[in-house]
Amino acid sequence: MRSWWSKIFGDSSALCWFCQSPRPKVIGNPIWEQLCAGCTEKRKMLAYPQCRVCGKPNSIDDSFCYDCQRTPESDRVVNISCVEYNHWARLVVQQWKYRGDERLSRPMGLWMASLIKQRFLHMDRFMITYVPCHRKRVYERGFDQAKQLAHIIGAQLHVPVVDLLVRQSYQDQPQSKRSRDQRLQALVGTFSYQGKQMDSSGQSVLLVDDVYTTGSTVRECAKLLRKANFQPVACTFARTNSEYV
Amino acid sequence: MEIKQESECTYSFWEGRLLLDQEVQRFRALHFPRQSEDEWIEMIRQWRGKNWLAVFPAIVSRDGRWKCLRCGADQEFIFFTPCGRCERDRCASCKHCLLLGRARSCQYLYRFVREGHDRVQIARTVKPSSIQLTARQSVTAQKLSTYVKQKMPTVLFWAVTGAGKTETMIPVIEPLIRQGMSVLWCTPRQDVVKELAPRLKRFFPDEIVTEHYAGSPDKWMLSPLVIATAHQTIRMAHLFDLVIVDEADAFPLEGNPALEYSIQRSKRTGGTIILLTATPTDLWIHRMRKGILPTVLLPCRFHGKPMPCPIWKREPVLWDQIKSHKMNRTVQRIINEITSTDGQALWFVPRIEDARIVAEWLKRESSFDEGQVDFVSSTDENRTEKMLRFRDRNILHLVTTTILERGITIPQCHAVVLRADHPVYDRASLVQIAGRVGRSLQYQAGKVWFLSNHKTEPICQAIREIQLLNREACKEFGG
Repeated sequence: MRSWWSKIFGDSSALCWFCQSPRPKVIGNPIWEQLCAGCTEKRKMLAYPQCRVCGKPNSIDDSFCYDCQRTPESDRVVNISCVEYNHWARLVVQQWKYRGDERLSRPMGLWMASLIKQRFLHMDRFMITYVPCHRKRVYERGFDQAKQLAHIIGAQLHVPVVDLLVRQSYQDQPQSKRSRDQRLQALVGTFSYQGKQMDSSGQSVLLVDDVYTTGSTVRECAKLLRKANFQPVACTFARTNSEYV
Repeated sequence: MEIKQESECTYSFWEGRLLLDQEVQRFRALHFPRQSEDEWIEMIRQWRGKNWLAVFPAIVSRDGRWKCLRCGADQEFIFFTPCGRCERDRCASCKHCLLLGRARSCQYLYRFVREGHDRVQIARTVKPSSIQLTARQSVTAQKLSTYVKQKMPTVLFWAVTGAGKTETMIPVIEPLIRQGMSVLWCTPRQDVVKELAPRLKRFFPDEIVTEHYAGSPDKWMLSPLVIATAHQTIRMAHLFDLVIVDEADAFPLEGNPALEYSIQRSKRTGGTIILLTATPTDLWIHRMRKGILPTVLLPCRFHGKPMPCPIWKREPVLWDQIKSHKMNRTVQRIINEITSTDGQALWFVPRIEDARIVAEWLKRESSFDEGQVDFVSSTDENRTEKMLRFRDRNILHLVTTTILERGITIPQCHAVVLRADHPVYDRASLVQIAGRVGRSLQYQAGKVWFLSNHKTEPICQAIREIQLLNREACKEFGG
């Protein structure tokens, strides 16, 4: 009947990026508005004001949160995240990482890219790296999740993606199943720097990962990058927002 | 000789499975932790030599069209990504069975099937079942048993809602189990499996019944009577002598060729599929009329009372009245009638966001106590809790979407469909909604109302179908 309409103006409905159910299509919406009603209700964006370092929602102002006060100043890494790691985000990450639904990396990457655009793009000479998976894990899953996010972000922002880090030890138990103390201990010596000794004095590098829980993975990687004279900042898709983990 | 026997014994664990590489490894670690790698390779070699095991890639391309051999999904479900396993740029994966672990074209599928081999049939003792069937039900069960004995490939069992389908199936299943055959009861949804298993465990010993759904404890165990969600049948092949497909017309079974394929595959050659439904699709009715699809009809409920016939009322301004906070006279009358007969009501609305609006409207415009009116939808977190409160009569009026159209039994229930002309209501769902009412012999005052602006084709069809079934039931009882 109105076939010419959709031919000219495109379809009026589209599919939700995350659960493939129909959603209204509005041209020009940011990616976090391009979700179905169910996902919009369940996803929770991080509220402002946030801790100026790790991005944790603070109730008062943008001062340091308790977690960041505990970490030594040289270890602190600025982090931004898209959503709170609630039940919905957990399901999304599960489906993406463990069930291998690679289609989800596109919306996640675009979402992170638009956030980076707002917060970090003023930095000059800026490149992207990621928290790598172990070779064996890549074989199991079939893809390196953070690498995929990094490449999508890089393509979106026209920023080069470089492999700087490599994961040395294979852990039987994934990071997501440990307590805070175990995490902090288990990470020592997990990663190593593999980039060439380039002239990197003070260059900013963006570290991409999927979930930020205690920030120990990000901090461990940042330590290595600092040793190689980079200035690391981090961007993650989801972060926890509980008092203590 | 000893090795041979051992391998045969081990094979019985594997028989009838269709597993991916990684699933085989997981299963081995779970059940044979002491088996060494060499032994396993030797066993595989033997089995492949005897044609008991076939190993092939999970996704293949035939004449340029890709196909997932695991779930039977076609080209449209296949997507390509760079792969970290085979390090190729375009490795095919299947979208359709993604939730059961990802199948890739670089991954092998193990199919443990012995063609033409009669399994050792161990006769099992079954508790003498203590069910009381009505005369009509036992006649139906006998008819179904004959079809199963004749090895009919597909049989349609059309029973009205509340006819006691589960109970009727038990005398059909029982002799098969006794002879050592295996039976699959497959349903579209997980909660049905969880509800059905305890009911069946009353009739059969516990070790015979296993439940298969995502995250169930005995997902890896096979037993003579398996209750599974339709998706789990993807992991089984040529295993069952009788497959019962419960609610065969419900989402996601209906119109999903890939799931149909895997259900077909899970039955052995010469086995029977019984399609169990209260609302057969048009295609099945067509086939039934042509005589291609053998059908058994059970038109009356277990208590012998007819289904309540829906009452259609034209309410053109109802939705405006809801928006402008006015009471509608018909709705007021309905509420009065429900209250006077001491009943409860399910109010069906077409969309999730309408449920809250209607619930608030009912709460405000009628004099109900706090908590007597509530709403549920599929996205509701305390859905089960609200359902329990509705069952305990703490909630008297529950506004809901079509999620509650199937599988719930409330004794003193009425049903009202608002905006019955909305396209989400097709014939099947309207008949199912009407089937919620009048399920107990003690309470027959339950009524069904359809309120809408137009009388659409599904409304007419639903009313006609209920009248037809009631007439059939009358005929059986001799007037």
